[in-house]
Amino acid sequence: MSASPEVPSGSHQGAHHHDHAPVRHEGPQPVVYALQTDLSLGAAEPQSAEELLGALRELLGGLLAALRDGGCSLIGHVKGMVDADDCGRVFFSVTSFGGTPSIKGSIEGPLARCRLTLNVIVFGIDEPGVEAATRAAMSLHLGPWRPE
Amino acid sequence: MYVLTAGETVRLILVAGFLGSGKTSLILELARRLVAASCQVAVIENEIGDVGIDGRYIADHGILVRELFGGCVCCSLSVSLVDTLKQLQRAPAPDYVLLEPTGIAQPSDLVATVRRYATWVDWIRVITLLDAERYEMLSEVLGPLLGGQIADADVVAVNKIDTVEPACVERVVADVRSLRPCVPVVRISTQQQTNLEALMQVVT
Repeated sequence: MSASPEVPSGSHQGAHHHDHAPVRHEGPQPVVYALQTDLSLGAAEPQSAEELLGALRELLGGLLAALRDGGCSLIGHVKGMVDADDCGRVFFSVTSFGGTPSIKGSIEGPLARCRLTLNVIVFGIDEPGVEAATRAAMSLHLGPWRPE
Repeated sequence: MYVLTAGETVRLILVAGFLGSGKTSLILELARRLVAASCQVAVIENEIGDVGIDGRYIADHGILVRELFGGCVCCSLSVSLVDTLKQLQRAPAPDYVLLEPTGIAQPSDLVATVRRYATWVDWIRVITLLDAERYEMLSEVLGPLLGGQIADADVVAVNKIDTVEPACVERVVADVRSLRPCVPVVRISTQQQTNLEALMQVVT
């Protein structure tokens, strides 16, 4: 194997709120927001998988509405994962304001805890706006589930 | 059909395309077909954000995955990409590496990095995946980005043909043809597994 030349250092490093260097196109630049949090029901009764997925759909609907209200002009994607350890996990994705979320994988209930991972890439809204929309949707549309 | 010829080391298939075009699902289907043909496969997943989702999804299907977070392999994570390819090259080296960059990556930047710094990868193919549902809308907003991804393609795959009218698919194909008259174009549905073998044959 021949030796390879030295690779140049990266031009930037991502953070939780990613600052992607301007890509080589003249159009709008994406805003990236990622969130990972444990969810629990507290003292409430454990929920079925169907109830959890219902809450997830409500969350996504609420988040898309909040993003649009916040000035978002284009959804790159809103995707993520709900991981319930031994009870399974589901992956979800939606790519338009009126789109139906695609949900793959499986979870079996009853469930009292899970971990939510969310990745949002959108255009036309700034990072604080995306974070505010996400926090608002999580407080209003997750039913009895609460971030820990 | 997919077996490497004597002297080849690693084949790299780069699946480019805007966010939501179906890159992860296509990579999983390509990987399944290569594994079924007795090829060793690894996937490199690149996420702009600091959390990995697609890599976990593919790994859940028994495919070897390496994830690169928090940046884009076409710029900030180019070093990590080369390092990852180098790690994968160590035995047992895969026959194929399937690379999913972020949806805003320019394939030409990636190819240039690999050709310059990962010289043991001597076979690279770029599939640019287009979302037939959103192509016309996206091209109005992000035309230069999509045009760049099409310009860099060895093969263009128009995905989600099962969800739109045939005329819509043909408008997408016509637009591709206006940019790249000679590039192979394959109309596919990853969801319905339509024309994926045809795509594999064109790519490999």
